Amino acid sequence: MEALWRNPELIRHVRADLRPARMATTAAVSILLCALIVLMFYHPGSDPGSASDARETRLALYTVLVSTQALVLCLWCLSSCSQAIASERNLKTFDFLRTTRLSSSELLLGMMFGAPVTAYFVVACTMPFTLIIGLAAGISFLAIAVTYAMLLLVAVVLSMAALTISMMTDRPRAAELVFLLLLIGWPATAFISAMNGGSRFPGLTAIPVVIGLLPLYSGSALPNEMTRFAHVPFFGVQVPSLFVSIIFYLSVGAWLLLMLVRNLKKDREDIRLLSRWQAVVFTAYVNVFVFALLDLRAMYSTSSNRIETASAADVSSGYLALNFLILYAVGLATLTPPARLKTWLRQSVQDVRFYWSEDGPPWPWMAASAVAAFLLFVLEAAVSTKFIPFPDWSIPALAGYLFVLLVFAVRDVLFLQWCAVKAFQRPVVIGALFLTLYYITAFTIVAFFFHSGLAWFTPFGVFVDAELAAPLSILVGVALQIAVSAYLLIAIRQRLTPSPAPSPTTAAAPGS
Amino acid sequence: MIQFQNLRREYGDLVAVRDLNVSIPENEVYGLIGPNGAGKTTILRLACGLLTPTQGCVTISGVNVHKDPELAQSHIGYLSDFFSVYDDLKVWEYLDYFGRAHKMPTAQLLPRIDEVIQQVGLEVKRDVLIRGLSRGMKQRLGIARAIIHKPKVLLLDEPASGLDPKARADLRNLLLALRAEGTTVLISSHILPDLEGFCTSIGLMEKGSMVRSGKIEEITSQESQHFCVVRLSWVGDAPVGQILHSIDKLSDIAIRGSQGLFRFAGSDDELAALLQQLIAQGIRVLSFGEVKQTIEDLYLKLSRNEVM
Repeated sequence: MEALWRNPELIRHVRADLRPARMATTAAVSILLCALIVLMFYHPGSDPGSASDARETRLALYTVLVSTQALVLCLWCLSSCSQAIASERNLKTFDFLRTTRLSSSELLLGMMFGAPVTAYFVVACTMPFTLIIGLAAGISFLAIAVTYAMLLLVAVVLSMAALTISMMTDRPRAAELVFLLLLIGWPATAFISAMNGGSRFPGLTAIPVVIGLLPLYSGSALPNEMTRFAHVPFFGVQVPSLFVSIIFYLSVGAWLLLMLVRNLKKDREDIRLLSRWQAVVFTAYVNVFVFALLDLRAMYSTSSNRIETASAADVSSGYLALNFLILYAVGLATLTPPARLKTWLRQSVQDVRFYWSEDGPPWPWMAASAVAAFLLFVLEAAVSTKFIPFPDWSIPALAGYLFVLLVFAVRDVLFLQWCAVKAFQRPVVIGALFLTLYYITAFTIVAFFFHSGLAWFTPFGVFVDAELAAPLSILVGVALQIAVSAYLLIAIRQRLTPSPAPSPTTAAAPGS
Repeated sequence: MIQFQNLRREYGDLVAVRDLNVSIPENEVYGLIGPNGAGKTTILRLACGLLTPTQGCVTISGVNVHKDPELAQSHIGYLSDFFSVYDDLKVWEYLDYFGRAHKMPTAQLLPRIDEVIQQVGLEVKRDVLIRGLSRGMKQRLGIARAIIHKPKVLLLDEPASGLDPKARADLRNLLLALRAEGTTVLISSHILPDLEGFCTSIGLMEKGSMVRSGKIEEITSQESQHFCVVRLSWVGDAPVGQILHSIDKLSDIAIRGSQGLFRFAGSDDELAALLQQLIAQGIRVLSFGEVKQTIEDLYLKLSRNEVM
C-alpha cells in the first residue's frame, strides 16, 4: 500500500488532477448529485408508507447509488486509461518515463490508479451516502464491502485492458470506442446467454458480477429468471456465481498484468504481448477455463422445449471453433517484428532449437498451441465420461480436424507476417482486410460455382457435413494451404535476405 | 564511459546505424554531427535504451543499457529534440516527479530541485504552472529534468533548437559547468557553431556510418598536415592576386578587396618564409595568419553531404 502512495506516477496525477480548488469542486458536485438522487426518492410529496415500503425505498436508492458509482468508475477508467499511454506517446513525454528508473510494474500501478484518480475520488466522496443508506436498508456491512471490493476488482481489470489497448495504439479515440463497445457488449452477451435456458455455459452469467452479488443482499428480491444462476457449475461442481466472477477477473487480470509488465517500457514496434511459451500457456488457460464453465448435464432447452443431453459432436464443434480463434490470436500475438526476423535469419544455427527461437516465425508456436489444446481436450474428454462416453468423442477425427484448422490459421498468419516484412504502414490491418476480401471471394465462388471449394479454400469444411466437404476435398485443401504457406515462407525469407552489398567497414559478430 | 560496440539498427530495408564502434571517454563533450537522416537521433535513442539494437550493444559506465536498463538509467540524462512537458504541473512538481522516478532519496530531492532550478535560471518560475512558460523556458526545464538525478552521462538531441541567442549562450554555459562537474555529454546538433567552444570531440555521421570520430584537435591537425587556410590583408595597390597565383604552394585563392584567403601546403617554416616573400615583393601586409578550423569547416571538409 505504501508503494502505491509513494508511486511517482500516482503522485503526479493526484497533483495535476486533484488540486485543492478542483478537489473541492468535484466533491461538491458529487455530493450535490447524491443529494439530488436522494431527493428523487424522498421528495416532500412522497408517501413514507409502511416500514417494509421504506426499506424497499432505501434498497432501491442504494441500488441506484451503487450502480451510478460503478458506471462512473468503469467508464472513467476505460476512458482515461485508454488514453494514458497513447497520448503520452503522441506528446513525446512517454520517452522520458521510459528513461527513468521506474519499473514497468511501478509505472503500471501509477497509471492504473492515477489516470482515473478523479473517478476514485468521486466514488470516495459518495461512498458515505451509500454506506449510510445501505445500512439503513438493512444490508450487512459485509455485503457492501464485498460489492465495493468487486467494483474495485472490475475497475482495475478494465483499466488494465484499456492500458493494453493504449499501449498498442496511437489513436486513443479509436481505442476508447473499441472499449466502450466491449463494455456494453460484454455483460449484454452474458445476460443474453443467461436468459437462454439451453445454454451450456451458465457460468458466463458470472461475468457481469451483479448476479453473483445479489445473494449477499438477503431479503432483497432476486428476479426469478436469475435465481438459478446464483450457483453455476465450475468443473462440474456447483459454486457461487461470485466465486466464478472472482476467478474470471483475477485470471484475466493476471494475463493483462503479464502483457503490460513485459511490454510497457518497450518501443511500440518491439511490443509482443506474450512470449512464445506464454502464448502456449494462454491457449491452455482458455481451454481449461471454457471447459470449467461447460455444463455437460442434461438440461431443459427453451428453444426446443425438451430435455436435451450434451452431444459430443456439438461440444467438439464448439471446441474446434474456439481453438481456431485461439490459434489466430496466438499467431497474431507471436508475429515477429521484421528486424528481429531478419536477425534470426542471419544466424546460421540449423538445428531444431532454431525454429523455437523467440525471434523466429510464429508457426511452430501455433503448432505447439494446437498440440496443447488437443492434449487438454483428450484429458477433458477422459474426465467427462460420466456424461459422454469416451469413444463418442472420435478423438482421431478431432485431431485431424484440428490439424486442418491449424494449417489454415498458419497460412493466414504467415500472410500477415509477409505483410509485416513488406513494411506496409499498418500491416496487420491491411493484411486482415486482404484476408477478408479473400474469404468473401472464396465464399462467393463456393456459393455460385464450386461447392468443393469450401474445403479447398476455407477452413469451414471441417464444420459442415461430408456431403458439402468430402474428406478428399479437405485433404486437397490442406495440401493447397501447405503449398501456399511454403511459398509465403520463401517469400518472407527472400524479402529479408539482403542483396549482396559491399562488405561493411567493421566485421561484426552477431549478437556480440 | 559510453561505448558503442558493433551497434546496428535497421528499420525494414533501411540501415539507420551501421556497425558503429565508438568509445567516448569520461568527461568528454562529444558532438554528433551530420546531415538530416544520418542516424544521429537513432544513436541517441539507442544509447538511452529507447530503441533496441538490431545487433551490438551500448554500455554506459560499464552497464549494458539493454540488459540492465534500470541501473543504466541512473547514469543517463536524456533530452529529445522535440518534446512536451506536463502543462498541469508546477515547475518544482515536474522536477520532483522525475527525481522520484529516478528513485532519489526524498531528503536530497527538494534541495536538488532548488539547485537545478537555479542552474537553469528558472528561480522565479519555481511555483508557476508549466503551461505559463515560454518555449525557451520549457527547453530549460527539459534540461533541468535531464540533470535532476545527477547523471554521469547526458544525451542531448538538438538541445538548442528553438532557443534564442541568449538562451543558447546560457545552454552553452550550463553544459560547460556540467562538464566541469565531470559529466560526459553526447550532443547532436545541426547548428554547428553551437558546438564550437565546448565540444572536445566530434563524430561525423553519414548514411548511418561514422565517417570520422575523435578529438577536435587531432582531426584538425590531421587535416592540417596537408594544408592550412591563410588569411591575408594589406594596404596599397600591389598586384596581390598576381603575386599569390605565381607561388606554387598556394591554391584556392580568393581575393575580395584588400583581403585574400588561400590554402597553403607546407610547414610552419615555409609559411614564415612565405610572409617574408610577400613583404619582399612589395605587399604592405596588414595582417597574415592561419585561420583556425571551426567544426563547421571540418564538417564541410569531411562531409560528402550524403543523406539516406
